[in-house]
Amino acid sequence: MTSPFFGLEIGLRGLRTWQTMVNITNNNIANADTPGYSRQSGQVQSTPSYPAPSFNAIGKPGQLGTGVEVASITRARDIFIDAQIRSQKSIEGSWDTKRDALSQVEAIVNEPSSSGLSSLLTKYWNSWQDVANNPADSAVRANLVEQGVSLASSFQNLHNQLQQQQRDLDGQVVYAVDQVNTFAQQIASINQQIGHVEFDGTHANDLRDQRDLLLDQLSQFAKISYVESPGGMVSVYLGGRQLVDRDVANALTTAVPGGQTWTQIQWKSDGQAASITDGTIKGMLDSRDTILQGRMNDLDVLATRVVNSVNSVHSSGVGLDGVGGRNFFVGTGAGDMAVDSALTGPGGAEKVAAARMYPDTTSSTGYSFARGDSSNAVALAQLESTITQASTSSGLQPGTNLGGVTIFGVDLARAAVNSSISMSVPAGSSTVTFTSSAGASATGALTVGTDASGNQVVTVEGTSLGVRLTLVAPSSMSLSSVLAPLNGQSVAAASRPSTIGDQYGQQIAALGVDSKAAQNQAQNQQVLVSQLQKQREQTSGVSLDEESTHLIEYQRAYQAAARVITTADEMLNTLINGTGLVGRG
Amino acid sequence: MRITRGMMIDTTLANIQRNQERTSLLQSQLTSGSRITKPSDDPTGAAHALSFQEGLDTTEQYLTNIDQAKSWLNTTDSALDAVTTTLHRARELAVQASNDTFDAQDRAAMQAEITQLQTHTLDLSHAKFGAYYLFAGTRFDQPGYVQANPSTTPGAYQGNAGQVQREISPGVTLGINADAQTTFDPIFTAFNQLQAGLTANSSSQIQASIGALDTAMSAIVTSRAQAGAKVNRLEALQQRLSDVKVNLAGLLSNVKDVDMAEAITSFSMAQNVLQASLKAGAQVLQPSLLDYLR
Repeated sequence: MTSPFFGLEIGLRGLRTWQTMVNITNNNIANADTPGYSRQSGQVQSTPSYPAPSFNAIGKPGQLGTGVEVASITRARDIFIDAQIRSQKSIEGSWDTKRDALSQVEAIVNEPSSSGLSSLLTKYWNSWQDVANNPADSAVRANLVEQGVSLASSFQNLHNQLQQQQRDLDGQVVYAVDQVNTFAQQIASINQQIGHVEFDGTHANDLRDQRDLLLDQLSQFAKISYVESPGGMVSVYLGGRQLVDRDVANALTTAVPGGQTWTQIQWKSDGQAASITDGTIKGMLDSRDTILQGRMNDLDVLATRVVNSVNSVHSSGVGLDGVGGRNFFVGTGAGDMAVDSALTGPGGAEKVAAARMYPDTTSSTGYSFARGDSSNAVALAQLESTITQASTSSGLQPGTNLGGVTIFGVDLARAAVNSSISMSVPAGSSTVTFTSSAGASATGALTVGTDASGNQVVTVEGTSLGVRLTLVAPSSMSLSSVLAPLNGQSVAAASRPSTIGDQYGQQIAALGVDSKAAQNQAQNQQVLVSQLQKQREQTSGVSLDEESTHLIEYQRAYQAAARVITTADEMLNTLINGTGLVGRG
Repeated sequence: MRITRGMMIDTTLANIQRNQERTSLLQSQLTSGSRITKPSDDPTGAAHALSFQEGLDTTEQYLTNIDQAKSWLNTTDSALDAVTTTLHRARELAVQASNDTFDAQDRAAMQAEITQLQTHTLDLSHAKFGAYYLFAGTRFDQPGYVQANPSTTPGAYQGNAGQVQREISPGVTLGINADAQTTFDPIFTAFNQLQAGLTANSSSQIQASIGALDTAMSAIVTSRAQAGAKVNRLEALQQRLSDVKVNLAGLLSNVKDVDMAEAITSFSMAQNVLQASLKAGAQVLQPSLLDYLR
């Protein structure tokens, strides 16, 4: 038999339980829009029934229920969706960064437009045409030099802007690594708190929500994997090593290794390189090292082709001062391409080599040039439409020195595609015979001039084979000794699949394709991630309609429990004040 | 399926965002008039646009070259025309002088006029195009023939045999100057012969010089014919290149320019969709059970 206060206790338990449930619902409503919040619900269960089995059983009808209690408060969370979201967010982070980097490169490149590199190249070739039309006009020549300067500084500008972007990304990498370290430390400290709280079996719902939010944010930076240990702490793995080891965070650091230009990410404890896959950090590293570097290499290839082709033809001609052997451009790549200072300085316009020497019996040296000759200028203008050039990997290279003779220029713009042309010079003679790999041969036409330092400039041309060499040797050497080192040498004509302008066009198209692909990928990932997030919201989200319905439910239950207490109270009242009153007045 | 308010908000926002992106893209196309503002808009189109633009610019340059070449050739032709007139007069005089009714005195008087004609021819050989001498090869900063003494000998040519080149289409060059020596040497030779004949008062020599004058005449005719043929060729080329220019401009426009009618239609459609999504968003976000509970 139970005591009269038994009912009170049941009512009280009811009140407590439903009040707690209302509080849980209130908490859900209050946190409906909190980022990372998963809705909590109380698990209501009956308290242990009476009597418990024992040796001295009462033997009365039983068991009797003793009321209700809130057994646990749990949060609604699907850990599988969480894992999926995190791995997709890593991929999204990587594509977002790459898309942004490519979009910036497109802005730098600024094509198609009238101020882009393609348009400047065309203007440059056209100004050679203008010089060809007016070889003795110094204004036209000065304009050509200006166009050359404009072209070279455009190359330099592009190179510098791309490099600046690389530097910016490098700085962002350092910042991102700092963020990762911050997240790791926060996760470690929450781990510790969760460990303390869950020690006695309660659920650290809000702390877990916070930790999950941190893991989401961390996964956007880099791909992580994680494992929960029985104590409720989560260890996070990055690139195969532990970033967070329960309540200890292992820091990452950034350093520029010796001999390299850019930052590398390392583990602070032992300096080993950290392997990062996916995430914005990987996106930044890829943009810096592959996308931007690739674009800069493309630009260098183009610049080198322009510099070498122009110089090879320009050095074989003479300026209005009769001096040959001059380069038009200087520089090894896009970063340092410039017009030779001799041409940009005072009197430089005169030195632009529009003419060529020709054999002239009336001249004292046997060769002279005419101020109205524009054959070299025409040859330079025609570089726009040629696809052949001297191979940079085989055959004689410009700049080679053979026995005191410098091979200053190798012009193969009009040579047959992929041909190899060998030279033979009989000992002691001044006749050069060119023989192409296809069997055709031509005798070299010679001219002799001087360069700015007084050396001899000898040009040898095999017109039918399209080969023209420029040699520079000390003025003391005789013609046959200048030509002798050519014996047995050969030059190789490499073909490019396209003209300079088309090569650039192909680079632009490739950039466009990459950028479009990155945009598409980023968009796809975005859609995918938002789908997954919607699924998560479905499970963990707070529905105000649901909570308000619960409120009604729990409120009524609370009222009912209160009624039970009133009933028990009245019963007690009846018992205490209403029984055993017989005989009292 | 459980739907929470959070889900509805996210969906609404995402859709509105997407519609605004589309509207903004169409707007930028309309205001710039260009379909391709950066390579990723249409990668192959961008490459084509670059090569069409390059083609247009170089064709423009070739047309400029052709214009200048034509002017040069026309100026050459007018100079040679004047020389022809002079030669006609000289021949007239030579025919008269070969008649034996003329005696030494008459012939001396004629010589004065022949000398004048000779000097005039020399002056004509100094004809210029702008600052450049037409009949000096590539040494055109100075006259080709100089006057050493009243009679000019062929050896007094100080120009050269160079060709003044102009590029008129990709890889094709044209030499636009008349070869000074083949054109003028016969003339001066004939004049010298005539002078010698007049001085020597010999009819036979004067007769022979008429033959030389005829040779000189045909040399000029040949020169003029060559110049004329070149002008014809250039004019045909000019016409063709103009057509090429028009074609390229059309191709470029096709690739690069936005079709206004299509763009405006798409733009109003996009705007409608955006408005609809905004309205729907406003309506779906409002009601919840709380509105209906006391």
